Amino acid sequence: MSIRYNGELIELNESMSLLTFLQNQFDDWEVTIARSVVAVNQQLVPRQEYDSYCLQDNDDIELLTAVVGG
Amino acid sequence: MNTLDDVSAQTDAFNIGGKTLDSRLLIGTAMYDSPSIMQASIIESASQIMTVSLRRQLATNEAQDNPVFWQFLQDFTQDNRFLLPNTAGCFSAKEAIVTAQMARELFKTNWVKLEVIGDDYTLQPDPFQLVEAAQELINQGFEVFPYCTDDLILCEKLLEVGCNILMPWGAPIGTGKGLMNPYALTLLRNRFPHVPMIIDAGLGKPSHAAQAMEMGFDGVLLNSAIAKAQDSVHMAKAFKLAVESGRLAYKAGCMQEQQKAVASTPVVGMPFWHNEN
Repeated sequence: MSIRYNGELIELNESMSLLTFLQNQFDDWEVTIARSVVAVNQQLVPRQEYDSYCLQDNDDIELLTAVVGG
Repeated sequence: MNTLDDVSAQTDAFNIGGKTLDSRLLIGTAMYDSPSIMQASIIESASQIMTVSLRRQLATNEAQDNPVFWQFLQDFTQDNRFLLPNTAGCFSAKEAIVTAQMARELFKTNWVKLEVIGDDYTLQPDPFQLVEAAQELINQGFEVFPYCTDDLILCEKLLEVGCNILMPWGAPIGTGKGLMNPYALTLLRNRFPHVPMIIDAGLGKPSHAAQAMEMGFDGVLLNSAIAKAQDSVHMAKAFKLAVESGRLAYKAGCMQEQQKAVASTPVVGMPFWHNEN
């Protein structure tokens, strides 16, 4: 199945949870997740639901973090 | 005996979003020459509210400065100081609502500086999308700080849907033009005398901030004027003093303008030569 992650198309060979996907993206995933927030298909996914959220074909993941702003 | 400063501090606290603050200067974190200059400027400003935003997380090896900024956010929020996440870059109510929800999740605050932009050139808010987003976010428990124009009807609508605060622009974001429409801003201030009102955007000089405060606005929010100054740290101090000065002047009550000149030196007891025809 294919998903989109921060604008980039990614092919996944197997179904996985959102948490597993994020763990695969970062060596220091615990720190990254603590400083980030996720929306899938333009809907917030609370941190405590990352493990139970099973990624679906065509899911659009946005992983955002704090940046400077005015 | 209390000094004038002591009395002023005790009787002029700034109540906003359920918090009581000393500083009426809200500051942005963008566009500084370096993270260290940004941090020094913010500290020098003595601001207790700092705006932040959300953008995509970079890959691990690219996100080198994020831990530094993250730590600064943690340090800043000690000691009665607060983050005000924005929804910058959103062009629809839906985008702004999701961004606000994500900001609440990450920053652990129900405050949001709600920006819904309607025009690329002026970065003018879209009033229709702004009201729609504000209403939904208030229903979801947010304290909405709406970045709006000085349009009276728009501000009325924002209050009707439950906004407790208004943040009309002085001028378009980043222009540094100052208060472009003092008439409209004065009208707003007089129409809603009890609504906390912060001039947000368009200020370029400390005198602009002082002018806004003299007009009775409760605070100012700015970023570019400090970040793009030649010496941001000293400019932060200048804005701090200007806001305090303007506020003190407002509380003291400025004299009324008039057309006719009025001599300030007494006319009684003038020397004889002024009486000769």
